[in-house]
This record gives sequence, C-alpha cells and structure tokens, in this order.
Amino acid sequence: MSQIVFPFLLGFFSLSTQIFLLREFQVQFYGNEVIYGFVLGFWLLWGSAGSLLAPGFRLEKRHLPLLSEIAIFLPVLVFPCLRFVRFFWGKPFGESLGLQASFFTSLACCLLLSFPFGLLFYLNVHFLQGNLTRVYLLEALGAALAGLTVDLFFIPNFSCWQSLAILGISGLILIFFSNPFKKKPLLTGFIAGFLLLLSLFDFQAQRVATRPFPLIKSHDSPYGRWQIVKIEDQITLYQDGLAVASVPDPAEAEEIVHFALLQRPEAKKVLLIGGGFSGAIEEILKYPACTLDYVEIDPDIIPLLKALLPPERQLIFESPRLTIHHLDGRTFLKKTAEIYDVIILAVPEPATAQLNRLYSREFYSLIKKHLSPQGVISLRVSSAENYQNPALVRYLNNIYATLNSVFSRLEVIPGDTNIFLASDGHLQIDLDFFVSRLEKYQIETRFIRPQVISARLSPMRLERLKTRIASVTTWANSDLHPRGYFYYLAYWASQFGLRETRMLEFFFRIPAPVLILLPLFLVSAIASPVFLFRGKASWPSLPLIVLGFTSLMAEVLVLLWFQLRFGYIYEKIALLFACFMFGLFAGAFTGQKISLTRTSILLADQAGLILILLVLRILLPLQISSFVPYLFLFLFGFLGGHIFVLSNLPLIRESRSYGLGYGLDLAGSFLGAILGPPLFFPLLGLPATIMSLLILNASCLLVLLLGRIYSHKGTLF
Amino acid sequence: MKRRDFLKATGCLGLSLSCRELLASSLPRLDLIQPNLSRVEARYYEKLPDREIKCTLCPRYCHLGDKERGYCGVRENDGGTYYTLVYGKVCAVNVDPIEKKPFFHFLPGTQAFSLATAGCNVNCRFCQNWQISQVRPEQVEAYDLPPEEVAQAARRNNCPSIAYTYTEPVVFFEYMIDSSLASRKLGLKNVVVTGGHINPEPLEELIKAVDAIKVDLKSFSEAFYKEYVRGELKPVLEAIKLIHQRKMWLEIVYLVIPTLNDQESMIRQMCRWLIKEIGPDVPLHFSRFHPMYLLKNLPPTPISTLEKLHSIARDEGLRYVYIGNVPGHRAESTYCPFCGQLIIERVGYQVGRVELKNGRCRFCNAPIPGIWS
Repeated sequence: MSQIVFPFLLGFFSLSTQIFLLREFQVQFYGNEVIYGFVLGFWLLWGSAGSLLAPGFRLEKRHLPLLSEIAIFLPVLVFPCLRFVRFFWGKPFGESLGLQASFFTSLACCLLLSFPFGLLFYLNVHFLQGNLTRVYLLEALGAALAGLTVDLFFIPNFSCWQSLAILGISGLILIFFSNPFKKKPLLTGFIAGFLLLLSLFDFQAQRVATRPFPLIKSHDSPYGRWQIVKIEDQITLYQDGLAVASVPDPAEAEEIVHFALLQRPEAKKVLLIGGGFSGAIEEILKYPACTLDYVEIDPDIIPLLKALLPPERQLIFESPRLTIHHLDGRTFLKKTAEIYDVIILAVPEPATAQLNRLYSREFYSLIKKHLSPQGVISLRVSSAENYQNPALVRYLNNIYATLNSVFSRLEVIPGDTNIFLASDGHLQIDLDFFVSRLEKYQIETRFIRPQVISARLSPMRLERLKTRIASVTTWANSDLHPRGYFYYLAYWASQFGLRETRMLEFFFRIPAPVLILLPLFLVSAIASPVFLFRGKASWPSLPLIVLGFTSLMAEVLVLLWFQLRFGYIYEKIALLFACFMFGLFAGAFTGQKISLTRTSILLADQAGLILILLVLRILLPLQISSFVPYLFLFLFGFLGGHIFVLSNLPLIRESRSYGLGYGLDLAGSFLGAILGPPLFFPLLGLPATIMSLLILNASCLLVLLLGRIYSHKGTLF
Repeated sequence: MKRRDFLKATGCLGLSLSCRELLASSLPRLDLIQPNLSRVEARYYEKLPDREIKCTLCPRYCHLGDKERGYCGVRENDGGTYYTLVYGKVCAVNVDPIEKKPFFHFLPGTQAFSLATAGCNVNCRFCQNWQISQVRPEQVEAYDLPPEEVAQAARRNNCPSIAYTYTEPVVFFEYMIDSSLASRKLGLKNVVVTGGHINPEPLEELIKAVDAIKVDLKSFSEAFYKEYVRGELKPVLEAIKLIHQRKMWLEIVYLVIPTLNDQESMIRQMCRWLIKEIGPDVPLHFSRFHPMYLLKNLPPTPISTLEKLHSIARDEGLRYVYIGNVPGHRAESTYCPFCGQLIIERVGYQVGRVELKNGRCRFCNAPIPGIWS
C-alpha cells in the first residue's frame, strides 16, 4: 500500500498546495500575469532543483514518511507568512507590492514549499527501487484527482486555509497508516494540531492582515476571495486584494453610468457587465425608459453584499426592471439574442490573459452585434488627469486602436480615470452637451454635473488627451494576439520605479524573430552543461527539457483558447486540466510497456508532438467544437507522459539519476511558465508562440535523428 | 571536466551574456524622452571643496558630489556648480478653476493658469501626479515655456492668476520666481500649491514674489510623514508659521486618508496649533481621499468622517472649514462666522452667489479675510 500511497500523495499535495499558493498570492499581490509567472515558474524551478540536488542530501527510504509529513507541515509556516508579507516589506494595507517584492516573495515561498516535493520525487523512486515510471504514473494520478477535488469541491465550499487543513490531516492519516517504517505519532499529532489551528484562525489572520482597516466579512469563492471592510457607514468590497467598489460612493457609480447613458438617455435596453455593486444599478435605473440586464460572473457576491446594505438599498436588486445573469460576460453575449442601446463594461482592467478577452477586437465585434445601430459602448480604465506617462499612453492607445478597429466613432473622457465611448452613431462629450442633457432629462447627479466636470472637460484637456493618445501607434488587441495585458502590465510596473519599468519594457524592444528563437537558445543553455558534465549518457535529457517547456506552454495556451471560444467557466477549466493530467497518466502507463530498443517510438512521439502543434496552429483561428480543447490537452498529456517515460529509462539505467529527468522536465516547464503567458502570448501572439514551439520541437527531433544516425550501438544514443 | 570543455562552456556563457548586452544597447531606450534638460544655475546652495555642494533649498540639505543629483532628481551638481534641470521645462499645463487648487478665499470664480515641471522632494504614496512628480525629468515629455511666455499664456487664456502646482513647485523654485516676477509686470497674480518642504530663506524670497500659498498639510504626525510621505512635519509647520508671519495669504488643505491620518485627537491637536500659531481665520480644507498611486487599494474617505472632522475643527474655533471633493456638500460654501449667513455659494468648482461687499459680509458687515479682487 505504501508503494501506492506515497507517490500518489506527492502528486496530490504538490498540485493542491500550488493551487492554494496561487490563490493566496492573488490576494496579497493583486494577481496579474507577471505575478502568476513568478509563482508558477519558481514552483517548477525549485521542484526541479529539489529533484536534481536530491542525491546530495543522502536521503534514505526511511526518510520518505518524515519528508512527506514535513511537506504537509510547511504550508502551516509559509501561508501565514505570506498573508502577513506586507509587514515584512514595510508596506501598509492597501499599498501595492511591486515586482521586486513579488519576485523575492515567490522565490522564497516556492523554495520552502516546492523544493521538498522535488526531493520527494527522488525519494519515491528510490523507495520503489528505481521504478520511476510507477512513481510518475501515481504522481500524475494524484495531481489529476487533486485538480478535480480542489477546484470542484474544496474551493467552492471552504477557505484556502480550511482546505489545506482538511487535506493535510487526511494526508497525515494516510501516511501514518501506510508507513512501513517506525511511526512517529507525536510528530503526526503535532502537525495535525497546527493544521487545525490554521483552519480555525483564518479569518482572524485576515483581520490582522487588513489592519488598521476593520474587516467584517470574508468569503472564498471559485472566482476569488471577497473581503468587506467597513469604516463608519461605508463598506468597501475587495476582490483578491483589489478594492472594487465602495458603498456609498456615488462618484464611482455616476462616472460608470452617466457619461454613457447621457449619450442615449432614452435607451430602452441597457447591459451592464460587472460593477453592479458600486451603485451603478441605481444610477442606470434613474433613466425611466430602460430595462437593465446585469451580468455578474460570481453568484456569491450579490447575496454577500446585500446582507450588509441598508434595506432601502437592498430593494434595488428586486427591481422588476432589473435582470441579473451569473455568467461570464462573453459567454452571455454569445448566448443572448438581445439588442441593447447602451452596453457598459465595468470590468477589471486587463491584468491577465483571461481578463484581456474583455478588451479584444473580437469581443468588441461581439458587442457590436448586440448593439442597436446608434448604440453606445463604454468602458473605464485608470489614467492620470494632468500627465500620462509613455507606458500609460501606449496602454490607452491600444484600447483606442482596438475600439477604433470596430467602431467608427470614438471619444475619450479625460481625468484620473478615462472613459472610452464608442459607437457607430453620434457621440458628443463637450460640457454644454452634458449640461443640456442633464437639464432636459432631469437626471439627478452629484458628481457628473457641470460644476464638477467643467474642468475635466475643458477644451485644453480634451485636446491634449487626444493628442497624447494619438502620439504612439500600437496594434489592436486581439484574442490571438493579446497585447493589451502586456501594455497594462507595463503601465502597472511604471508606478514602482524605473527599474521595474525597464524590466518589462526591455522585452518590448526584442524583435519577434529573436523571441521566437529564444526557447531554442535557452533550452540549449540548460542542456549544454548537463551534457558537458554528464557526457553522452545524458543525451536523452534534451527531449525532457523540450517536453517540459512545450507541455506547459501548450497547456496554458489551450486553456486560454478554450476561454476565448467558450468563455470562462470555472468548472470546465478544472475538467480541462484534469484531462491533461489523465493524458499524462495514460501516456506514462503505455510508455512503460515499451522496451529500450524501440527508440523509433520516441522519435515518433516527438514527431507526433510536432504534428499536434501544427494542427493546433491551423485550428487556432477557427470555430471549433467544445470537445476539441479536451482532446488536445489529453493528447499533449499523453505524448508528454510517453516521452517522459521513454527518455527517463536510459537515464535511470545508465546513470542511476532518479531525479535528473524529472528535474530537467520541470526546468523546461519553469522556462515555459516564465516566458509563456507573461511574455510570449502578448508579445508574439498565440500563433507565433506555436511557431516557436514547432521550431524548438523540430530542432529536438533533428538532434534525436542525428544522434540515432551516428549512434554506435543502434540503440537510443 | 577537461580544460577544453571548461573553456567551451564558459565561452558559451560569456557569448550569451554579451549578446544580451549588445542587443540592449543597440536599441533605443524607451524610457528616455527628454534628453534636452535645462542648465540654469540654482540659487540656493553652498559650494564645498572638491567640487561638492550642499543644496539649501529644502530641509533635506542634499550634500552632493560631482555629477550627483539631489533627492528631487531635478537638480544636479556639475563640477561644483549646481543646476536646475527643469527651468522652463513644463510638462503639465492647464486652465483650472481656482477652487480646484483649492483656494476659496482668493479671487473666487476665476481661472488659474496652472503649470508644473517634473520632480518632487517628497514621495507621497498617494500622489495624484506621480507620473511627473516621482520621475526624473528625462522621463517626461516637457516643452519650453520661458517665464515671459508663462505670463503671456495666462493672459491669452484670460486667467488673472498663475498657479504653480501639480508636482512640488519648490523643486522648480527659480523658474517659479522668475515667472512670478514676469507675470506681475502684466498685473497677474501668482499662487503656489506646495507641500511646504522649503527652507526659511528661499521661502522669504518666494513670499515676496507671490500672492498666496496653499500648503498641503498631510498629517499632524511625524510618523505619518516618515512612513507615507518620506518627509518631516516640523519644517512644514515652520513654513506655515513663516508664511503667516509675513502676512502672505495662506490656506491649508488636509487630505483625509481613512484610519491613517483621521484620528480625532490628532485633528484636535492640529486645530489647536493652527489657532495658536496662525489664528482662527486660516481656511482649512478637509479633502476626501480617492485611492491613488501606491494606495490604490485603500477605501475612499467616508463622507461622515469628513463631517466629523469638520465639526471638530469648528468646535476648536476655526472659522472657515471646508469639505473638498464632495460636490454639493453644504461645507463647500462659505458662511459668515458672525451672522451665519451664506456669503459664497459653491457647488463643486463653481461659484454661485457671492454676498460680499468690499471684503465684508453683506449682511452683518463683518470682515471676511481673503483676496477678493
């Protein structure tokens, strides 16, 4: 039993801890694609290091249960430290922690959490007398089940810390009863006790972390962590550490609504995507002719907020003119047949590839299909009133260029936030226009009125903003070339200082052909010292590095592709990921049946990978059936598992490096995590990213072929 | 490992690193926009041996070697001579209502020609203009606007006053002084919106050149200044006292950040200090905070908090206390402290009724301090 339990738990806890770590990072660092890249990348890097360096620790089989328990215990130390990380960096609650802080924090957290899992892989293979394939199979199975149970059961029902505690205690029990060596009940009980404390003090820890702001409520949903802070009579809603709305805050609500609706004050149908809890619903319903469809992806948030609002404000959610839909905004627009006069986007800014879908040309085209001929769309982004720095100008220009590629008329309201208005009909944003509309339609407002907006809409400011936005040229943001979120990230980084800006803007300057060939260079850089130090016997390591890089990039790319085509559906993302892991399991299972002499199978696998990438490249821009991404992920996983087993066999038998292959696979994945979503997707686009993978894999196939041709023995190298 | 293999490996590594550097150096740097900086000698500094200088403009007293810049980033020592790099290099120019600065007792209902260069001598984490204040002058697009042209531009835009604002005008001191003197010749007034980090001697010169100063008093706590502003409270209080002693028109703005600087005891302490040192007639504005810059995830100030602080200030004896960034609030308007009548009606930045005659309340004839014409 122990030979099944330990490898299985390795995969299960490695993935579940990673998921919870990412979610906690999201809250503390206001997750964006760079932050995710750091966390995922360092997780893989330290796992790789653990696996590669394990022989130096002189671990023995009897250490396996102890090390497994330590791996379960470490989150008890790391997660509270992560929650209070701002104190370490000397930042008050609400202050953004920049690139430097996120870099070093993710480096440290992943070292403590992932390095032991790398050691455990090595130790599990040692425990199973070198049966790496079996370890890999069971690990993959554990990871697949972790993905499903955590995403579909634990996250919707428990907080992060509660989930860690339940899973951890369950794991400890399994380890205790599977332990074939000397049991340590005291240690096990000690760890279980700490896990229990972790779960009991979750909310209290959040309250300490948000001091001096009084936290009154916290709720973990699949879509993030919602927290509510109350000061005097004002409640502020946070999602994953980002302040999304304060109630009452009429300034915010009026800005979201009136610049748009005053363009079409007799609108009959209005669509609001996101932002309904800021008071925007009340503002929209001031226009007597309209009915409102409000799309909010998370069904948990409205009941959570309603309970805290005064009774008269709760009633607005019962208005007969309001219909609420709990769906992803893009998915809603694909399903509905409604035509709207005004569509207001009050969604978060494009900090990730997933959010970028709501800022792309394809999304605006979809919106246009649901707009009446004179319909208006508006969206709001952060900006600066008096001067826009170059990073901000590029970001604004990109939004402008994207809207301009779909709509014939476009106006931008200046200010600390910019409101983009787009339409094929008439638009006007001078002060007199708003004054006359407010008077004519008797819309009562406090902030959007001439006495306040006159300075904002001065001819000088309007003209200057237009000139600034037009002073650069960027390509439109599209689904397959999601540049938008990189521009946003560069702007976000600019607030932390010159060094952070330069870090991201360095990549702007790299020509696309260089980026496409970069993986080839980097993989060679990793493979070369391995070959130099370990000699000819380590040649099979090359496909492992390439595999790691390719499978991670391809996996994330297909997940994004699915969301572009079918929307963000939480449960389906979990299933997609599980599909990949089951493919890995199936591939490894069939791979273990292959004998060492069947080297042509490895070549065929590598060719198969190239073929799948080619097919993916062809299908990428097309409309596809919903099962296709599942199939791709299964095939990538299958080939990945197959290649892993085949490539590792010679390493195991020739040099007894149990952790070498696994470590190199993770090293390749590390590169994929760091380069993929943060850089390649936005800078190269998805098609060129696949091209880069094709070049890399074709080069690998060529090297394998040459190696086979010049091999003396006619076996694998 | 053989020597040949070692050399091969290190050669590869070296080549790859140098490729990166070659690539980086051959491409234009995106962050450099404005290489053409000014070179006008600064007015407040001391020359030291070995081509070093000590800046005496603000309480930081930066001690700089050759080619070093001051904390503000816009002044540089070059061979023992200290230069301002932003003289005449404006990066933000607008025409704003004077109430937006805010000045409520200075030419109400008029427009101010507002300008700024890059730079600042503090680092407020909630800075609204961080994109020009927390950067080097090379990083902003600026254009030339010599002092004489500032005055001409203000006149063309029908602005009776010029406001030095947005960033920290102390860091473009020389430009501000020269522009003020030039505009005075055309009969224009000059106002300064400052954080108050300036030494007494340059402040004396500034007071002679301008007509009103608004000081941003960020908090009444040294700890807050240290943590959130990277400055000090004491020099700001000294500056406020000096401005008042020289009978320069002064208004104070206090940006209320929830839980960080809104403690009742601190506000009372501040109000008592103002009453004692400045008098009850200094206008005090409690401004509503909107999440900004590095504090983007704080809540905005509840209006009830502002009202509470307003009440405290009035109780302590201050006569002209306002609430800012809450359009339509009663406390935007000016009321006669003696008869209680509304004498200047304001909504947002717009002035409605003005019930003043020759600087006195039209109802009870009490003098209302300010510069009304």
